[in-house]
Amino acid sequence: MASTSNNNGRIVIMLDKVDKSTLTKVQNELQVKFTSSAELSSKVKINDVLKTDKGILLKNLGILVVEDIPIAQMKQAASKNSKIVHWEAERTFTKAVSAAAQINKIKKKIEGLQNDIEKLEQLLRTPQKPEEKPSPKTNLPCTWGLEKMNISTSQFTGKGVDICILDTGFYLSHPDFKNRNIRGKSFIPNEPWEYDGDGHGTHCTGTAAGYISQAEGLRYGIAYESNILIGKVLSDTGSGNTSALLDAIDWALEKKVHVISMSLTSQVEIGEKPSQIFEQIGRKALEQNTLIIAAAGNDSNRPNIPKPVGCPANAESIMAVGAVDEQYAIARFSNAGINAATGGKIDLVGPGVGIFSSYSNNAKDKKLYKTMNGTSMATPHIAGLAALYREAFPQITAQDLWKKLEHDALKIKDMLVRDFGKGFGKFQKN
Amino acid sequence: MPSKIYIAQLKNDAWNDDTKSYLEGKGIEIVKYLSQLNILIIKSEKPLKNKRLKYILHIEEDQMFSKTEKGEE
Repeated sequence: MASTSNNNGRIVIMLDKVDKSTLTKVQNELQVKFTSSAELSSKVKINDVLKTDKGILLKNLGILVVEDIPIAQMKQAASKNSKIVHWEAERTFTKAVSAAAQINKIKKKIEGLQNDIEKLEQLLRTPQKPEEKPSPKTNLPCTWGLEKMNISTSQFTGKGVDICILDTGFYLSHPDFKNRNIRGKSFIPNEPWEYDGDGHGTHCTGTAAGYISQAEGLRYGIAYESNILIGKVLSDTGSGNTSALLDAIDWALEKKVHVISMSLTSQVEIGEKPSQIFEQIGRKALEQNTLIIAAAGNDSNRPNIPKPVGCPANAESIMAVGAVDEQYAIARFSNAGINAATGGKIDLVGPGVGIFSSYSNNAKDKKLYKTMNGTSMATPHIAGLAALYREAFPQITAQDLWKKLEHDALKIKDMLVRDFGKGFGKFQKN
Repeated sequence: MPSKIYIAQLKNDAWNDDTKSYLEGKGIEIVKYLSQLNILIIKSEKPLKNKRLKYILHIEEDQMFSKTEKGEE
């Protein structure tokens, strides 16, 4: 409650005692008649009494309330009457509703915000139901990889998702990519990104983000409505270096892409530790909601000579992809997680043998399509798959996207974790 | 002696004029700062691998990468 002094003429007097002599003395001094509060009832209120008697005694409290007494008279009476302990003008009290109401309002706001935060946290923790989409646009004949990955019947197309392919560039005049949103940048001096004199980059881009071969009617691409960002980090002879690659990753992160696919490697030795630089880069990317996926490398000669996952795929914060054939058998060349003590494991495997996709007319063998092998081919399959999941779960973080890919992977019978990681990447929602 | 390219992982918030002056004073040429990664691409004639430098957490040599295509199976 809040109070203010009132000017309504009433005075509240605290008495020393409530005996007859005191009351008589005070009554004479103030020249008022008192009524005892004992006479009050639900029907007779203080205000009713004061209108007639000008004074009421609250006996149990030793308090006298009087009306129409001039202040000067009151001061005089109090100064010579030791029976009056204290007096003051009556106050008006108002319910302290404004402050209390404000506090309640703020409390409710805080509760509301807490609820909102909890809802958002819940949203991030639990995968949401994918958005309902109309029936698939196509059910076209697909490459074996897309069939096995459940892509052929998926309703998702990668729409709104940004995929970055860091490779030998892209053959921008390819007829299958007309009207696509494709941007690029070259990090190799004097070699434009849109030329692709090797063909490898166009092949990988085709798998991750292409669609259908206009010549043969075969679907080979996964996220065919995604936005494509091309970074040329490998020369037209198929090689590049760390500085160009890092420059490109930095550029891609600036563009806030969702997925980066890197079908490239640098061989590592058994027992060699992963690069601390790439480990930091993978972590930074995940923090910025970008998933980096890299090829495990093709240095093995199985079954006798498995080689360790190469750099940068051996960094823990970068997803490493191995290759399998159409029977889900590990590819002869696919590297393995054999540097367990120092780091460098396989996270997933994808189709990497006999992979048909788009190619570059600027490459030596001037073709628009080619069938190729390698963990290079498996990697964009997983990148395209990641784009579909990203579209299906738009709020998902890169870290959770990684978990989702692993969770939904097909577990192959008798698979070795060192070769297959969490299994064969597969789309499990439609 | 020909200069080599190195990749340097910077300490947090270490990219400023003091860092630049310090590295240049050590004969290191700054090629590019990658702001999203907090990484420096640098050139030096002196070997820098595993060298301890103020403001720098870690240094690696530039290395070559190749496409992971395996040809005919």
